[in-house]
Amino acid sequence: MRINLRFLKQFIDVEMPVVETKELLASLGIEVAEVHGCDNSTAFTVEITPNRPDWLSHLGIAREIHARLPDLPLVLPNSLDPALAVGEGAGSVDIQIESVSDCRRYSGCEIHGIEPSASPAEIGALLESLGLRPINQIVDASNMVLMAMGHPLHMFDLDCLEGKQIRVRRARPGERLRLLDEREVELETEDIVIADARRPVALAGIMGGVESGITNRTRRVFVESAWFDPVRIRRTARRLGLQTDASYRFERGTDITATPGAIVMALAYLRAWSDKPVVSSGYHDEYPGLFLATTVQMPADYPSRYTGVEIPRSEAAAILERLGFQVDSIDKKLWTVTVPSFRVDITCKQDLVEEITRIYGYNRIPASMPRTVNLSFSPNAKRNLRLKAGRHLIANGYFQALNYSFQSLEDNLLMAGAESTHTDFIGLRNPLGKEYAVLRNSLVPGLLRATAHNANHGALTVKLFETGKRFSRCSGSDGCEEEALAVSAWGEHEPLSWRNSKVEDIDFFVFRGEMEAFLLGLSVEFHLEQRDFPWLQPGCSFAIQIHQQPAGWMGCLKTETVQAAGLDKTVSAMEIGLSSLLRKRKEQRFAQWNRFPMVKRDLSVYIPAGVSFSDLEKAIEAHRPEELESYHLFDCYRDRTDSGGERISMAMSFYYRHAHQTLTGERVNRIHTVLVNNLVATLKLELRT
Amino acid sequence: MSRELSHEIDELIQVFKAEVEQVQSQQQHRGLKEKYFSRRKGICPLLMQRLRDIPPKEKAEAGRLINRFKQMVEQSLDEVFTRLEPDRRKPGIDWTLPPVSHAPGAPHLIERTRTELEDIFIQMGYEVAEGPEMESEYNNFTALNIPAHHPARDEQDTFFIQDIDDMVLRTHTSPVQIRYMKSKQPPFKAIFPGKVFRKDEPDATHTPVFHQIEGLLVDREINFSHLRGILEAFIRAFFGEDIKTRFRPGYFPFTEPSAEIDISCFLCFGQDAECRICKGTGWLEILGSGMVHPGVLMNCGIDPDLFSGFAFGMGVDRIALLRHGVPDLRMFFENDLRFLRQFR
Ligand SMILES: [Zn+2]
Repeated sequence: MRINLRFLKQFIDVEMPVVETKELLASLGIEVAEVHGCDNSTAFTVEITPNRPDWLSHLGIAREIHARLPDLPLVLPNSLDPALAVGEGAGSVDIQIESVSDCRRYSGCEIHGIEPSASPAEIGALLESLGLRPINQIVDASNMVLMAMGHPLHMFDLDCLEGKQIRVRRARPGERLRLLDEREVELETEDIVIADARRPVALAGIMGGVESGITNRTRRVFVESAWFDPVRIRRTARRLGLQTDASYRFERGTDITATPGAIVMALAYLRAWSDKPVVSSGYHDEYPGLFLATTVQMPADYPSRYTGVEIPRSEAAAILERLGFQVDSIDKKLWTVTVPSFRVDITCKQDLVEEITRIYGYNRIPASMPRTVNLSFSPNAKRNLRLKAGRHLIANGYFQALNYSFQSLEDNLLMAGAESTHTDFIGLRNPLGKEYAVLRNSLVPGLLRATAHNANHGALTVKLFETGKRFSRCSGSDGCEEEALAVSAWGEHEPLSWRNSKVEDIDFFVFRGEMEAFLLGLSVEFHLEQRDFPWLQPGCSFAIQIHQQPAGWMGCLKTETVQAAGLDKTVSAMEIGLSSLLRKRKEQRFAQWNRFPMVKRDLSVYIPAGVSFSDLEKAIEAHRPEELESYHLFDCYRDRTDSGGERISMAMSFYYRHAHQTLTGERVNRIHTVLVNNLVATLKLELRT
Repeated sequence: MSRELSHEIDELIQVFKAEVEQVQSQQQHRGLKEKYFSRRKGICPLLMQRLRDIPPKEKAEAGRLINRFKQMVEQSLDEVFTRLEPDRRKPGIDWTLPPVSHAPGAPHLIERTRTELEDIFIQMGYEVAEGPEMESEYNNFTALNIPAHHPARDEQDTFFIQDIDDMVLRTHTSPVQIRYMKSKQPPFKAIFPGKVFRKDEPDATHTPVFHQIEGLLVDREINFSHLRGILEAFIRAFFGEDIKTRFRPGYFPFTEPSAEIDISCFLCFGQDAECRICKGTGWLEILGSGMVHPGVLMNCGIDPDLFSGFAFGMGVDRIALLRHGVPDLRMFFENDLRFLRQFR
């Protein structure tokens, strides 16, 4: 809303520099967003919080200033009895309200003998400084009332109201209305309309209809000054995407006692501007929803207790009274405070404390420290884990990435089986666009996108990780979210340097090594099992088990996916559920290390096609002699058989040690030979000589 | 006897001076040092040994002479040493070649800022509670005194979940406060960090996803001055001892009274009318806060006649942006290494 400082002086004679006025308003809770210079005055655009519809007028702002600066009197608008100001009787319009909850009050009157000519120049300039377009005296008068006291009026062309009837009722199915902005809207039974004998003539509290609006031909006017249900106005306005000065105020709550005064003020403007006599008549006030003032009980010492500063009772009461409240008796222990009709936001004693404190001055409240100690304590293990995981990955060259929680359907499909469809994911009803349509089922597409972005900008190595929520449909229609950790790596492992003339890329083996070290660093027991995931390259695809339970996956993203992202090198990735890293491992106990010497024996074999290192490992496990402490693959290459076939050669070292004695060479040979024979027999290995 | 010694030392001095002038290398220096100070055959130790044979009366004088000589030799050897070129190293290896690079990564600036902010409250004894990003409308709005059709819902343009009734992406972390209050007995104090969502087209000052840290303290007889005490302590710890704070009335449906908290501009201290971050006002809006509304306490099963509390909230992204001079909020989500690398 806009405030014109010169117009404001009609309500309170405040004289201070613009900057100080701004500060004053800010200290009251009225934020000045913009300052406009205008025709020998200044206008402010002020941001009014939704709880204070009473601030949507110059009078409302003036009242606040008066509360803070009591020496400046508040000049209230002339409050003549409307019956006297307008003249009762002789009215021809019949007003009926269908539902009191929709419309608790409807006041109206007729104005005759007026021509829709232009308002005085200074009124036009004032309206323009307030962001309103001057139209004609009739419309301008209603806008002046709006700006002065915040009550919206509506002006009908009386001669366009059929049957001289005003019916405040719900719209009927199929009814339509062409609005003042020429838009034709389809009405619903939830909408309140003003109708004449035949059809709706206005969308109540929002906008009038074009057929009954003020035109150059208008000679007789019917003024509407009413109170409408905020929720209903808001729903209709939202549905139709209409926000008007009127709906903005009605949906926040208007002052039900202000309807007659608004008519009186409009008439006063019209009489002041017109050189001909303005005749009014037929004042009628349909008021079924009689106003009952809210009262709030508050212990007299509560403001001091709730703020922590001693505010004298007399000062607290005086503040409330300047703001329009009434305190029954300042000497009582329990005050009964009557809330003025324009303060629709006040319902409890805490609200009153805010009023008192606002005017008293927030910055006069001293600081003090509470001594609160939690009754019970719940540690946050996830936070610690995230930080620990992050530190380890960062030390190993990984950068933390951050992506939105939503992404495109295509991104989700990348990380799902071929038969998946959009119904497997959680979508947004009102996304910002297709690229943000669904909640992410994995953090990896975001990392892939970031990898491609950096590769396009010249990065040679991109190592990233992210922790965050991923989402899935669970138990049919419900949505589930869990926190995950994703890591990805692409590009050069060790860059070209004086020591390194051949650049190696980060391949799966490098990545897996880093990730295994990472998992060890987090003290989790894990196990990798080759298993195909639809988004990984067949074979280069592993399930991760942590403490014997499924935890995630690791592998190289499918070549098509990587190429589609515009990358020409492998992207290795891992994703695990964060909670699996929190599973309790067995308590670690001290174990005495073996003090006897270790003996090493090597084995070189040709592996037949179809047998993997993992098969070899399994066979070793199956036949593992007690004395075998560890083994290590130190060579692996492909060559050709004499017959031209391909074969794989592997060379391994086996380390033997006995728990209680020194092993003799002879005994190790025996043990080793048994193991080798078993391996040869199970896997059809060929010994290399 | 001592006179004899004195002559001898004079001669030794002449010899030493000639020798020391000849020293060109560290090797020669080492040789000379050996000659004078070697434990068994060094000239100085031998002189000291001779003290034993000197009659007691002359011992003191002789000792002084020897010591003076010793000090002179030591000092000139040290002086010479500093003039010498270092030894030529073993040929073949240039130890100044660059190391095998092992550049660390970096935490994201948002996460780093969030951790720093959290740490201050953790040190003040606050718990850290987190909650789901997908929330019920009840927890996100209704329980916080924002019923359906409340104008305050307009100010937080909301993403709704498809096909699941009454579910939204939380517009603030306040629903976590609701969950927390329902599950705990006061007194308590906790912070609630996390991602939040508002339907804003991304631009330099808006992103549809951003990060908040909210806080809550509930106990008997908590009042507004406690709110001020905690938040001023926090602001001093995070922004610096010399930062000033200003409280302004504000509006949040879930607090009453509500306050906006500004801090003095740490870039220009109100001295620059064109200041990039405070726009010349000298103040930066940093926190929203207030006394928890009795209705909210009741919605969570806490009796507002027995307990009161305060709550506050801040935007992590905005604080990071202001503090580090990041020109555009969208950069936080681009994951550009040229950005990430700057905040190691
Ligand atoms: Zn500044």
